[in-house]
Amino acid sequence: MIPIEKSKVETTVLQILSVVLMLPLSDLNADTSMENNFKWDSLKHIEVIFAIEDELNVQFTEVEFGHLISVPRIVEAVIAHHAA
Amino acid sequence: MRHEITLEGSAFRLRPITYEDAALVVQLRTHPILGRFLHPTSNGVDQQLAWLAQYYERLGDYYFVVERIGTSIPEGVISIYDVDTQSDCGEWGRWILRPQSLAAVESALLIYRCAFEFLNLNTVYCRTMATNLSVVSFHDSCGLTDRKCLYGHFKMDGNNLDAIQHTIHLTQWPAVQKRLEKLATLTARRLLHA
Repeated sequence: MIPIEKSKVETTVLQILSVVLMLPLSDLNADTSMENNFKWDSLKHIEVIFAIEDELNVQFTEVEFGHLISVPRIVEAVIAHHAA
Repeated sequence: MRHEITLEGSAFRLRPITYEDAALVVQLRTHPILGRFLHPTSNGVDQQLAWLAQYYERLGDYYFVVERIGTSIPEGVISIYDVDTQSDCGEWGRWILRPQSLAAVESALLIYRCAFEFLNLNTVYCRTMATNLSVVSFHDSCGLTDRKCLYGHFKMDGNNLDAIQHTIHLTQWPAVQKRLEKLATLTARRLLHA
């Protein structure tokens, strides 16, 4: 896969979170997680991860689905998939 | 009560709880994160066995283990109880899933299916501790719009704690079902092809 810029991934992830969680971008940041934003519940998590897969052309494993509970973790995982 | 209801979804099933599941329940209830919003009772295996013995005698109470289809590995537990056959109404709860389990959506779908399609209820409600924000949000995300606060509903450690009650009526079930089925199917495809 083609390497992808961290800033582009982060921006896309935040935009997806904004749409799925129905929150303004100003309520989200690079440290947003399921632990500090309760709108990101386990149902929304499924929607978020599938939307990120579609938008950033990656496919996460089942184990990753459970681990990708924060913006930093998602960004890191997307970059790793693109670098692989 | 003893029941024989088993419901299968795309990736998970609900099956009746047995005495052999007592250790699983203890493991879930005593988990430091999962147990934060639970009453600290019946947390030993012997206590759970005694609790299950009482449960088997209680009418209108349907307790399930959530397990993975294919492996039968348990992912958690879920129940419908206080079923009132006069008003065709019941509460669902005792919902505990292992951390990072992907069974949340499908287990909720299956418990509603049990309520509306097996038990033929007209109304189902669930009461969540108001401070359990992620679970309150989950019910909102399912599309349950009928919610209210029950002030001081839960009693824990001598404190009265508020509950958020979400209610769904049979007429609202098709829309909620559609939403949950779509996500459960997507999740199952990934799990089955992992």
